[in-house]
Amino acid sequence: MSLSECVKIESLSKHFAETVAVSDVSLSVGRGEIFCLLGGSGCGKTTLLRMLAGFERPTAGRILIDGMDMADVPPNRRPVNLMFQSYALFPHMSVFQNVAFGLEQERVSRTEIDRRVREMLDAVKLEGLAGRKPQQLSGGQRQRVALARALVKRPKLLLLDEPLGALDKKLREHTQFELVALQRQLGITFVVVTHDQQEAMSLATRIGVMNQGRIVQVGTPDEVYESPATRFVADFIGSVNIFEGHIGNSGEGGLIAHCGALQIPLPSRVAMPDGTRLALALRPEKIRLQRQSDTGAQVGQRGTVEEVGYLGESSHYRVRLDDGTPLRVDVVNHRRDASQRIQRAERVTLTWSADDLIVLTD
Amino acid sequence: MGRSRISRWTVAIPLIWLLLFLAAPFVMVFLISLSEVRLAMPPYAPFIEWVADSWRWNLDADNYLFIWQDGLYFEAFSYSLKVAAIATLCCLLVGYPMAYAIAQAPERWRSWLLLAIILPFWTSFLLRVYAWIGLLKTDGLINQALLALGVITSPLQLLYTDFAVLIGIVYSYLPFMILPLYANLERHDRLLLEAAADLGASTWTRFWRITLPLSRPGVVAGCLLVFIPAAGEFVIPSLLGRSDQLMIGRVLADEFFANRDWPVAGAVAMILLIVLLLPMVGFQKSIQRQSEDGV
Repeated sequence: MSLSECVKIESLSKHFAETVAVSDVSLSVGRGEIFCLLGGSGCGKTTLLRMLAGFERPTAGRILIDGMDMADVPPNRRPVNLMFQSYALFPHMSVFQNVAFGLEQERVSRTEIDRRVREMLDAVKLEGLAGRKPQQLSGGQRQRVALARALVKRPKLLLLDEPLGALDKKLREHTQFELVALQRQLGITFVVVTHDQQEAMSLATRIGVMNQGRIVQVGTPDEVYESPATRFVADFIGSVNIFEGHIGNSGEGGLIAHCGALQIPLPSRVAMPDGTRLALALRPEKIRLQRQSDTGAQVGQRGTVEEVGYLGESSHYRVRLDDGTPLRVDVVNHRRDASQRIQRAERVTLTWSADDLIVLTD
Repeated sequence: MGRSRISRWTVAIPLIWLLLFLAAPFVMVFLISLSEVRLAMPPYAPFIEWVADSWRWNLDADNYLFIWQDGLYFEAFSYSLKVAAIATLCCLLVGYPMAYAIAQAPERWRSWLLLAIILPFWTSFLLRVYAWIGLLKTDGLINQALLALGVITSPLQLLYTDFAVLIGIVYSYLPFMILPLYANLERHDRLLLEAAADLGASTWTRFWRITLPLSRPGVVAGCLLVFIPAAGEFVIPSLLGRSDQLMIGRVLADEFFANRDWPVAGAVAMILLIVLLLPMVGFQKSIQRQSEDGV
């Protein structure tokens, strides 16, 4: 085990009666990382988090934190703190008392507690609110109390369960940056559970995508988005157009995929025997959309715009190709002039680079 | 328009009820307590009389002065409050673990366990107190069992003691302690205990710092529900208690029925009411504080 490893999870499983919540997960998280467990509800991410915190006993496998086996360590003795999704602040205690609670459990002197709590409240910008009760705070303030309470003990590992889930959109974006800044400043390893891919993408150094109790892919946000390992990952993170088909007669310049009536050239690095079944994933923003009248040459796929969703900074187009395949295309609106934008029912040509195709064979 | 008239009436109904059945009798008792006893029907002097061509009020604080000067009442009051306080404490010590256990039990068990707590109410209160005579008397079940086991060689005097009164009150009023405590404990957010454990608190610390403070409204409500009726309890001390030690409920009944001294009985009742109102006021204050904290 390398020195820079904070958490090591070895073939961890958890069964509840009949259901398998977590199945054979192996994972390691480096010191100082922000690792996001991303998945839909019921994918086992929360169970995994609760096993790290010590609230659930693994059915099989083991967890090492800083090289120490956590099997027989109860939650109150783990070098781990959890920030609860609902924050779970103590309603009968003031902000100060909430944050001090964890330190009081260690044998730390009163003056030391006082100093560290004040320091932590400063760090999360709650200096003036030490005497308030949780009910007298806004959602964003509560979130920061929960964060301060979990961080004040300087755990080796901080677990965050949907840390931004209860905040509204504006506050969430702001808090995201604060969270990352605080993490850098303190150097504590974060494991974040979230179902929100944007949250995961913007926070994480690495993302572990979970589905049905298993980790299906681990990678940087860029890897997970641009090179999803499976169709599930491609579909779960961002939107995607999927073409299904098989490798056809190799053309001159490389392989061609036959997807219904479409013939799609594959990236040159792909090498597969004829007839291999595959799926091609193409992100909507990777497609270039042009009016048919603007393109002279007979390149690209032709289709008709069926639907336009104008979102301000970008527009989502729903285009039906001439063979009947529906496609989603995202276009950034870099001009103010509406007449420049392609409208509903216009004939269009769609082009993309073969390298932007994600080839999936699972 | 129509709505406000309806809402005015919905407020008026309980108000009228309270005026008729609480405020009016209260004023009556208060006035009787200020009047003087007469051999008449009703057995007290009219509040206001026509004496020598002018109206004269027949009201004074003599009864209160009498109660203040006669040691018997003071002793009965302090004895009642002492018994009620000890009984309340016993109920709390017995009831808290029971309420806690029910709140922790699996959900499908809880209603059955609660039913078991309420079940005794299906038998008459009087009957249940009589049953304790059978258990506690010199040749009762408890003495027989202890004799048979060889723990004692001669029967213990259990019946007609303070101990018997205490047992009777604790037994009778325990459900009034358990039910509000359970209602409170059942609502506690389990995540708070997990959060406390996560922050390093042991099982005992979690109870002491989280569960107990959060259950304070339940504790206070339970204690009042036991203390107030226990302090005025009449049946249990008459059936199980010492004949030489009076509780204030007994005194009140004796004044009323045996002596037919309604004015003194009224004064005793007023004093009892005021004494018992004080903890209620304290409770209201504490509830207000709690709701300001949002608990």
